[in-house]
Amino acid sequence: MSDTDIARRARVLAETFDRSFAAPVRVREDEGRPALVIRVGGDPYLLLLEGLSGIAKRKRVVPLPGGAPAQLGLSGLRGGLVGVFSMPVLLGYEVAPSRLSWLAVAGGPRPVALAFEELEGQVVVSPSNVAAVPADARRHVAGLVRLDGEASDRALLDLGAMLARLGSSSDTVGA
Amino acid sequence: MEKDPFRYFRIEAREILDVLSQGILKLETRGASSAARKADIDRLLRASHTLKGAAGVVGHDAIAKLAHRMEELLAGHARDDGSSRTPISALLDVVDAIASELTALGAPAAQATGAATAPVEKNAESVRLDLLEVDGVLASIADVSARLASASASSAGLVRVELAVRKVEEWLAAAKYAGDRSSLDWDTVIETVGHLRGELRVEREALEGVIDGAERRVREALDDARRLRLLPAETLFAELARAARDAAAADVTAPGAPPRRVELETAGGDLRLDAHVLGLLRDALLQLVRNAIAHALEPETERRSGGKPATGRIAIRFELRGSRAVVTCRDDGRGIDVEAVRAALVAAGLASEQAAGEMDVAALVRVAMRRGVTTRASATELAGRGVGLQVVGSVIERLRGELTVRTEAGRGTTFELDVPVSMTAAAALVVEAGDVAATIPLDAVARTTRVAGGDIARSPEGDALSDGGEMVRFASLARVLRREGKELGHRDFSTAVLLEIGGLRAAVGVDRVLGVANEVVRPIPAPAVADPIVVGASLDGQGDPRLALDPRSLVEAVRRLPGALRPTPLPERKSVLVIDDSLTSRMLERGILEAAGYDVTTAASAEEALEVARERRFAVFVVDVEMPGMSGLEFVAHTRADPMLGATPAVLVTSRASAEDRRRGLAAGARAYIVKGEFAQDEFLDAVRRSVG
Repeated sequence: MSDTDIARRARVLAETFDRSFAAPVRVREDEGRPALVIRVGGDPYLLLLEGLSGIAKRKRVVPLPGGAPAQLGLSGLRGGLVGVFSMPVLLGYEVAPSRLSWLAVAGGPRPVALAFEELEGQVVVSPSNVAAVPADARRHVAGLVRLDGEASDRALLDLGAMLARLGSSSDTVGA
Repeated sequence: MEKDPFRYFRIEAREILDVLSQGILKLETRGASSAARKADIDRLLRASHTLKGAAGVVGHDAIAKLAHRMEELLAGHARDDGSSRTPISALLDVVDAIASELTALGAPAAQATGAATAPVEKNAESVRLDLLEVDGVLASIADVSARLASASASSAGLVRVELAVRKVEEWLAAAKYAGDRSSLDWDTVIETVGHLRGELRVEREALEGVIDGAERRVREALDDARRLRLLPAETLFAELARAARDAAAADVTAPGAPPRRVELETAGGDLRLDAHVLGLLRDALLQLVRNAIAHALEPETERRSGGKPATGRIAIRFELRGSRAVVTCRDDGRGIDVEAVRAALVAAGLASEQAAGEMDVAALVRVAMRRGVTTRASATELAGRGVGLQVVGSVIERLRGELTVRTEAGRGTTFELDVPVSMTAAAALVVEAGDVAATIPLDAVARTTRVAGGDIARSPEGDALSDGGEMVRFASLARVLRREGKELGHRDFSTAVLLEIGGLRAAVGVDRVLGVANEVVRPIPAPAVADPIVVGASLDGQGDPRLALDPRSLVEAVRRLPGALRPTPLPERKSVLVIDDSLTSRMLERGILEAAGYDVTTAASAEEALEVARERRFAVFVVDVEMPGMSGLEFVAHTRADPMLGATPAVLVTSRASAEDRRRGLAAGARAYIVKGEFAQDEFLDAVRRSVG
């Protein structure tokens, strides 16, 4: 490898670091959108960082009597109460609640936590790489993305749709 | 404030005036020479003397002289010589005079003393002045909270850094194995980056811990500050009692007629509500009490001839129902003349004859409240009520509450004000049931008692617990909260909490009583929802939620439940045969199952297991797949074909996670297939429990 190659590779690394440090707000369309690489129901997914106020390791979730199947219960997050819902159930999987180790916390005045199994990493998704949703896709999927080095597509989750479903019909969510 | 010489005197004087005001009113109801009366007078004398001394210390001569005057008047009562007694009203005049002096000091005196001469508006103003200090505290803490929230964003940034470093690490490793070598020491680079990620992770977790703890503390401080705004409902009782007495003495509807006698009963005084809400409820209650005396309670002669006690009765009760405060004002007067109200509404053009005819009493009152039938000149029953009801209507509107009215001719009227409250605090019993911690308001708890399964009488209609010879309906709290399926094995409740509310009784079984706490309860945050039994939650010391239970819904739920499905006595412990060649796995599974109440036998091979299984029956086999000799799959297939063992379900535990292995396991006849790599205690227990059936 020549010095030029090393210099080029170093520049790429530096740029990646810089991008990673940048806040995920006001990202230009052509620059791509940062997304979490996660697993839900054992399957690979991507969840855009936009709309999330934080990611947290799951704390104790106290179940509530009643509520939709997706509702796992209440958790104390940073001194406040937050409702915790199962992302797998929202997507149509059956996963034991004890296996959901991570919480994606959606911001706003009424925070909601969506629990999922595994956080694998973070990528930047370029809009041009997002393929249309096939007819047989699970609910709340906004598109398909093939990541470098992966043999199959990952479904890009639609956070807004999941939250809207929780807010609009909490009596039937996940049913 | 530091230079205010009366700061603490005002507080003390206010409390003493409260004692004097209530004590003097009580004197009216005491027998002429009863021991209780003497004890009351002694207490009032001590209070007056304390006030005189305190006034002397701060140099307030006027209050010192008035307190001295009070002592003299009370001394006359203490001599028990009817001729030397001054009227109760004279004692109250002195209370009012002291209250006026305190008001002149800029103190919120009237609110606590209940002095009828102080206008309500002034009381409210003085309360607001007090709250300014509290609001300042709230604002400063809220500011700290906002700063911490922005600090937490940096933690999210660290997550991104950590993930980016991991990505670089993967690239470097990939480049290395692709043969893209250079003069760089790739191993060192990879190792360094790996360290960097590890350090970042440690830092991030530490930072998150700090932020989490700090935010929790700030939130607690906010709760404390908010709690300052919560006042007990009993703060109003002295004022209401005084208002009732003055209204009865004034006999507003019939000048010259003998005064009416009225007794005010109060309940639920320990319920704490936001000062703003309580202030508005006070305005409404004052109107309801005055109206009841002026228009609903009959004169003594009329009551006697109607077979009623000579003294009219007004009962005020504060109660928490879910996330709503309910205030009831009930009188035993003549009831609302519904026809007269209808006629008055029609006459005032507020409703057509047909519309008025179709309205029930609550609807009629609501119209009167909204439209203000305030023609005092007409001096009708309705006109009098209309004045007060307009105030009540305005209060309900401001609090977004609801009003219910029930009236019965000759028997009395009940007004029920039902207002939502965003936050309340009440002393509550903290209990644990299964995996849930919960609080039950203490005023609904009659007592707690230790119980065992044998103390419960079970029947298909419902379970019951004997309480002093009376059978009280019973259910475990875990069952009421639908957590029974999650209870660990046969571990049973150990304590029964006996609840009593609104004349209904029931008992709930809990695992442990943790104590009594006075916690701020927040509503369930949307979009989460819960059965009406759970009205909100508080946070414990670790920041985990405790469910706040509504005692009325809880009692109703227990009384509705049919008998527990679990027969009596407790069923035999289910026995499990764990078959695994690994000692660690055997012990791990044994520990989990025994903690859940199962009776566990172990075998180190499938062959040994077959021998054991032929000697005694098991509820389920838990089998490792990969074992030397007979494999787990072969064991399952073998036992499925055995008429003696075939009925016992088998659960396979394995480190092989492929779909093909799973298919083979289930094809061999296993009920469930658990992958060790994904081993989770709850899932494991669920699988065993489901297999046992």
